[in-house]
Amino acid sequence: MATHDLALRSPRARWSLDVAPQTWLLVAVVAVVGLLIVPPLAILVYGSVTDTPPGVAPHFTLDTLHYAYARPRIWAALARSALYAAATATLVLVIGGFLAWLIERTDSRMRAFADLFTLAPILMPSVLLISGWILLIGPKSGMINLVARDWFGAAGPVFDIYSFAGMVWVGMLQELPLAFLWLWPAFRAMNPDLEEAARVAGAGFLTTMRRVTLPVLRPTIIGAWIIFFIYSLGALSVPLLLGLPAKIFLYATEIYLAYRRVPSDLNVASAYSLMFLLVTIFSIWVYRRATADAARFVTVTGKAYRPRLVQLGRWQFAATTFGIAVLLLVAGLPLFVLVWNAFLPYPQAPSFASIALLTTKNFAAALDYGPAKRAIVNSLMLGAGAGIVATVLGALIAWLSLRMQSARAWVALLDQLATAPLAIPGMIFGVGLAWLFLLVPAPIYGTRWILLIAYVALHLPFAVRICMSGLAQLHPELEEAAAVAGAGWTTRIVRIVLRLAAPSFVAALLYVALRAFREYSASIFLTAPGTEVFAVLVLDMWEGGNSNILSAYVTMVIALMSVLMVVFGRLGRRLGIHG
Amino acid sequence: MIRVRALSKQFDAGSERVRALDEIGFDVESHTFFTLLGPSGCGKSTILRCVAGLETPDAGDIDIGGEAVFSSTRGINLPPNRRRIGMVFQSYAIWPHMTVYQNVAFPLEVQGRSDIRARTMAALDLVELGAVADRYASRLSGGQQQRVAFARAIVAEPEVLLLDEPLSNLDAALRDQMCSELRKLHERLRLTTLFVTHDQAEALSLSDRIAVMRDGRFIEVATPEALWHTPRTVFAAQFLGGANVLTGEARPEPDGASVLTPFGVLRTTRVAQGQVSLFVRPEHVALVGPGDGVNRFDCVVVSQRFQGDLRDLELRLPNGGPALRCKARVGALPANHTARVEIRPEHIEILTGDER
Repeated sequence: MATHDLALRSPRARWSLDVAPQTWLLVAVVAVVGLLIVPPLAILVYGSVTDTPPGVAPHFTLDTLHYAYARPRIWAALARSALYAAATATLVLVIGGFLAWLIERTDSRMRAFADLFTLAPILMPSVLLISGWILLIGPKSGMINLVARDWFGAAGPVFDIYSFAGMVWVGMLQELPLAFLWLWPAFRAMNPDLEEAARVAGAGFLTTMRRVTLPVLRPTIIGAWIIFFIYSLGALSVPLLLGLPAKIFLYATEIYLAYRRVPSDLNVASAYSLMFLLVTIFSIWVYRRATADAARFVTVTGKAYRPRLVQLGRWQFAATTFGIAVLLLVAGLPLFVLVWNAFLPYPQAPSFASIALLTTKNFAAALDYGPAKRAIVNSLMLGAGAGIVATVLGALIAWLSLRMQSARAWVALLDQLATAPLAIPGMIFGVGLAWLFLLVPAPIYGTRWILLIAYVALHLPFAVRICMSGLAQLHPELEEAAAVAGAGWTTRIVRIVLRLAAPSFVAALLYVALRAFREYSASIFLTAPGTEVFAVLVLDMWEGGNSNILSAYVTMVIALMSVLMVVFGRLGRRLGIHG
Repeated sequence: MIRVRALSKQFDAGSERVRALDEIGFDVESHTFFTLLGPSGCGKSTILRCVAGLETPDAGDIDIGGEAVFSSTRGINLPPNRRRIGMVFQSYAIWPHMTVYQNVAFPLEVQGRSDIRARTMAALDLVELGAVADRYASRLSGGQQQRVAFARAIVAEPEVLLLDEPLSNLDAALRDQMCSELRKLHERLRLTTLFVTHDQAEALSLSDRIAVMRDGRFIEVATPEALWHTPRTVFAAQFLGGANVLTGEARPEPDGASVLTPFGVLRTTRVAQGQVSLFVRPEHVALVGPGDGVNRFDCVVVSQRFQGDLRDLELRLPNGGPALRCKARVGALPANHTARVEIRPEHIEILTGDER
């Protein structure tokens, strides 16, 4: 084993090459990221302590805060939101964790499913998943309810999605793939020796689980619960699409309603957002506390473990069935019902009669629907733009924070700033940005630029993280060797870093582009006629449109996205291959 | 040549500042092979990285080939790409997206040199890799990657060659082979070389001079022969070859001295007086047959380790006391076997260096 000198102990704490130009770059990047993140949030405070709309001379008052928080209605909504988020986070964690365990630690032969779970949320963005489930168990025309009526003679609807249970159900399905992807690496990286030592010491399977496995994973589990709690709290699509028709108002709904009211009350929306921000910050603080001593639970050593798999035996079949069922719920069924409805004039249960009714008229109607085509073009452009900008910024941030340990304070600040959007609900950022650019006399409000800014800021943490994982694999000596060979900074970056980390940069670009493409919770506050985006348009179509035309529309988009994904996937893989 | 003066550097280790380098100064004469030897964490790699410009010292001066590349007082700090150095890294740092040829040609290319093709191929032939020039470097074996790294380090004819534990990632047999090749290459190229290692065998067989380091300081600087036969410090004596160090009261004799040690009075051919430390190499502790003589006494074998060519024994006096290490070519001994031991007076050296 190689020994390491003091200076070599951590491969991160090593680089101080001609510091001057990079320090300048570091400060510049901190400034850019700071300007991107801080003002839209700071403006919420301004909005909360004034009662004048943007563009008018401000009148400072506490009336706005008083008006916002004096009504019991808002506190009830907050309590309901917390209940919704807690229920969703708990369910998603139990099921997602079980799934991760089944795939990683048992002989269930479900590894192939892992890729599908990665794909599911890409194919089925949140608005589409909800749309699919409305078409499945909507009380009037949900397919499952229609089947129950037509085939089994049920008197009324069996399920009603427009209920608190329905909201939790869809909210849970929406986050399930993410929860799985969050927990899977933990099971993967956990040193199986820990469990095996317990087994050797005489503990049975359940005792080992209870005394070793779960305690070792405790920081991961608590951390994941808080993250999913925050996500559920900040999600806007479920409260809008399901809560609003059911008259179940969550906190997010109240912010939206205050904003959408005519005339729009940005001050109250800011005051509400402020509280949301505080709750989020508090949760993050708890998260940090819970995971602070994670070093004590060192489960990741970079070693490739070959864990002993739990023999499922006769449970094998049940496990596979469970995996397939989850896949059907998170993607298969909603996808099917959307495509089925796309070809039907009106919702109905599958039957021979309905096959005769199949039509392609919906597709033509969907393309004729006002801004339908424009929204797709906008979303594609914005997705690509956000992907490029966020990746450039993210790669710079990742490189600087890995290699500029000499300027530790700046790097820490950069890290805080760049990861902050992870915890900021999109809608709060949307409200803040709208405020900001109504105030700032720049022609940004109501254009695509404001959406681009929102998308870049909100997805920056993902870009940073993906670029970081790629760059972290580059041994610093690869760059140092180039420096010693006589290459300057630019040459090193272009010829060594960019070339070697290209696959992860492409991955970051694609990931951000895909997420930006279907962003809705910030977009809903920022779109204007002419700058409609896909996800917001789907929400609009639910309000006024025909669900079959909507189905046709999203079917086309899913098809388009699948084709793009295959093409870019190929391209990315080709870039990643060398030698 | 390399000239280092008053080089100091501190690191943050959690809350406290750790002195990684404490006023280090040394010269590496032109065309010689200088080794920094010491346990991990002693600061040897930090010196190398400071010379390379990969780390910035807090204070001191570094000249390479007569040119100041770092000086805290004059405010000079040349970046590594302008220091005219070649370096072999511990991980080899072979760029996986380039072929062997491209890797080796890179320094010439970025330095804007001429005759790139001829020089690259010459360097590759030198390390006998001309045949695999067009292969991707990441597909090579460890030993071959090491040669690529070496070829890349010397191709631009650097003023000095820096080697950062280049052999530590190789398995034992390969390390031996690369070690002798490295020496041959040095004898051919005569590049001024600064080498960092924690392995005493590498240091002894490669170096012209060795600096033994501990805790950011030089303990002793000497030629390999001198360091082995007449070290001045306890640390150097024990770090190289794990010598027995005994302390005792010395009294001058006509042909040397006699020292009262825990093992009785021992005669040495060295001149000494007063409180001294003396050392004996384990292989100079001989097992002999019965009979009296100078420096002979009985010991009990406390433990033994078979090491192939030799047997490593831990001996103590029958009534206890400190341990004495002995390496002898003997068969397995019964437990608690009593053996007669002899240390010839000329094999007992006095440690003259003062040490903290």
